[in-house]
Amino acid sequence: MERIKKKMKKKNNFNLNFENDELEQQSIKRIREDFFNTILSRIFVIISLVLYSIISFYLFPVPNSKGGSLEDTYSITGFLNFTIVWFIIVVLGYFLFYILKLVFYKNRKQFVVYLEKEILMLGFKNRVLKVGLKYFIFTNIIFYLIVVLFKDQLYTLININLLYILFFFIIYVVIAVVTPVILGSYQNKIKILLKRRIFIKIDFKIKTAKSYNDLINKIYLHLRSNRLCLKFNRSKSNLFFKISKRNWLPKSGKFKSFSKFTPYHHFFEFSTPINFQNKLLNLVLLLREWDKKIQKNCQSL
Amino acid sequence: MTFLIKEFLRKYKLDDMEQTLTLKPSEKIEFLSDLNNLMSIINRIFDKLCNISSLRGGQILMALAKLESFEEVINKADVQRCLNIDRREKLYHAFDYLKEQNYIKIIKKSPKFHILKINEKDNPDLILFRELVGKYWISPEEGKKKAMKWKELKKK
Repeated sequence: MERIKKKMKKKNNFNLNFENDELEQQSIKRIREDFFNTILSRIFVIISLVLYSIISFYLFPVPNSKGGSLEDTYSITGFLNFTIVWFIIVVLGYFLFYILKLVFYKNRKQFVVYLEKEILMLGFKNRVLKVGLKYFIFTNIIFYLIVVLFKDQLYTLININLLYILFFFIIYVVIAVVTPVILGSYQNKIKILLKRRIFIKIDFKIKTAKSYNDLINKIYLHLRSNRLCLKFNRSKSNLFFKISKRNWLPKSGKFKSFSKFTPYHHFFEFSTPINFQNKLLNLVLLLREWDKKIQKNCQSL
Repeated sequence: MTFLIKEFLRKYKLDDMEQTLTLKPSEKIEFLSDLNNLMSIINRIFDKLCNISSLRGGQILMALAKLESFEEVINKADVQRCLNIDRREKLYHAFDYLKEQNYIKIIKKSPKFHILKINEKDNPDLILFRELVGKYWISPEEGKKKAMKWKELKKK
């Protein structure tokens, strides 16, 4: 037992390190292993839940189809059964959401912990935004209310054809599972609040596939500041271009088209794990410079 | 032979605001060659920095140059603090590499206390590098202090 405990401790104490190629390889290997382990564990839960829901479908009678009556649903036990079945569907949806989130967000817990440490070293605190999860909970509550309010109509539809259940489930998955993931991939980021309305959002991408060439950066981070000014504001735009050109900042961020069409200016920065702290500090200092100059301009006016 | 910015300013009295800069044709050629010399040294420094195997190696050289401009005895902890790095082990291989390449000297006073110095004797260009970095570079430690001050000011 002690051996296992020690091993577990060692596993938990593993610090990601990107100082040289060897350590970087080890860290990426560790992230990859963790990623596949969590996915496997969730798949196991999903399979067991699917089996459980199939069994429960036969145990809890659906009115007018498997011997139950519509009146059964209005009794307390019927309502409880109905809620349990819906709860299982939601948990299933949650795990689907979780897996999709893991695949699309590349939200690796260990790497987030590494970033948090680096941010703390600079004296700042971060917050992980979870827009996707909030949207997921919101849509699920709405779906539950719809099902409770319109269950008679749903049961009659099921009686006409059982395929309607599948149709309803597909709609549920698209709206309550896939949409939060897509929404979250744009919104879920690490946010560092520097001051009221001044912040930096961090997004990262991790390439964990073995086939990737060693020369390619496997982990890269995108940093984006808050909205600085409107592109139409000439004096502020000039100041923006002056600061960003002098400091060799990239013109666009992760989504090039987004940076083209947005009416606002942002400071963008690109970094790898090893120089993340430097780039972040650089961006903070630029925001400080920007803020001071804007305040000066306001005072002079 | 290294050429310092201070010498350059003094030679042509560029820091004297009362005198106007008047150069004869022969002096102009000398002025241009001095300026070229200065620029080529700066380029050599950047070239050296680009060829240092790890990013940390370059950072250590910068930190050393910065610290040497106002401190005489510098140890590894000072460099770590200057670069705002959490763990010393992140710098070990870079220290070894810089020592191997003869960019820095490490004098071991005790098993734990090591004094570091830029090897200016073998790399005379690093004198100008020290001068430039000491004057113009903002170290992460300084940057952090600046940012924190700004952050606290806003809260008030």
